[in-house]
Amino acid sequence: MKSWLVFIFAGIGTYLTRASFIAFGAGVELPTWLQRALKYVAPAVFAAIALPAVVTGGANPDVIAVDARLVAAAIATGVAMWTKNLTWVLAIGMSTLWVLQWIGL
Amino acid sequence: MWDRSAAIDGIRALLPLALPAPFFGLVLGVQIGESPLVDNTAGWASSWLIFGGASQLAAVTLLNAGGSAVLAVLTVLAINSRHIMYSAALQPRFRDAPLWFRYIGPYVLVDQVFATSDARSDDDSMAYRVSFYLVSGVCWFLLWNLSVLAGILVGNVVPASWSFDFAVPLMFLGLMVNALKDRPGIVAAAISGVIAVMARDLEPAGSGLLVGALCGMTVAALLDWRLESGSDEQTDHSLKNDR
Repeated sequence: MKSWLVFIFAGIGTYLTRASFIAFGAGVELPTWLQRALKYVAPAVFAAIALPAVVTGGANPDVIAVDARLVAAAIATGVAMWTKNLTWVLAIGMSTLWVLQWIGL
Repeated sequence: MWDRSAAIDGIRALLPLALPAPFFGLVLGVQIGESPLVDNTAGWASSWLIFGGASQLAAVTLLNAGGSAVLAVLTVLAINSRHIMYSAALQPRFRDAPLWFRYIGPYVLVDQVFATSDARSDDDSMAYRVSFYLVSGVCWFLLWNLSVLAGILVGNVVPASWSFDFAVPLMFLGLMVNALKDRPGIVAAAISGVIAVMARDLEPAGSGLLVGALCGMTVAALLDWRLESGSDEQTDHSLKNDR
């Protein structure tokens, strides 16, 4: 029962965050300064999701070390800049990780 | 309000992003299946009630550790507050969309659906915008709910040593790179990423992301504004020179 209540209220709250501007704020003309900042939502948020996950995914999350994940992520970033193709990013990033883990980095 | 070619484009744009989803969904499903304090039906229901992987995982983990219900709800909301930024960024794109869409559409506004629609051109017709978005969102909704269900029912089929969890940050790295269109964008990603790493242990979970992203966006907006007024000055200059 407790978990149902948590998921229902969390679900309503999450919908409100998603609907905030699209549903409830549709009548508002967003100020220029805000529109300028909103152009950079994608690079800013995706970097803030990706980088901590890359850095802390290894054996010891408290220490930032050059481990297999960090090297694989760096190579995958290079592939992303070069190809702009996410399938390649995933394929080469995962393969690099497996090879590095196999040789014991 | 239906554009078939937009629907096909929507699926095509989403396909590469969908590759890590089943693995993440499986991990979450296994977690729900193994948790003593969250029953399977409620755990699965979190997938269509909340519909956000990272926040669901955090809530299930917290509930299993005996955390309070209020803390679990607040943690989900902190992690999912980034959707306010997605909603604001897409607001101009959907301002003139039909009312039903503006209320139903946001239900499926996940990271990947935002990424594909945000990357589209402003020249798209409204029918294109709505069809492209809805098809991506509904496909993602089905994929996610089925993946979590599979994890609950089938259990641990993919060994953790295969490190498939790494596919999720890889996908976000790729999305980040694809979103780098100009110099302020690169600055936004760099500042936001570094601050998010430094603030990764900030409570509640998800607040480091928020602080990082807001700092990155602010600096990028200032830089963008300076670059633009700078180029205005330059054109003024050349006009004067012409005279």
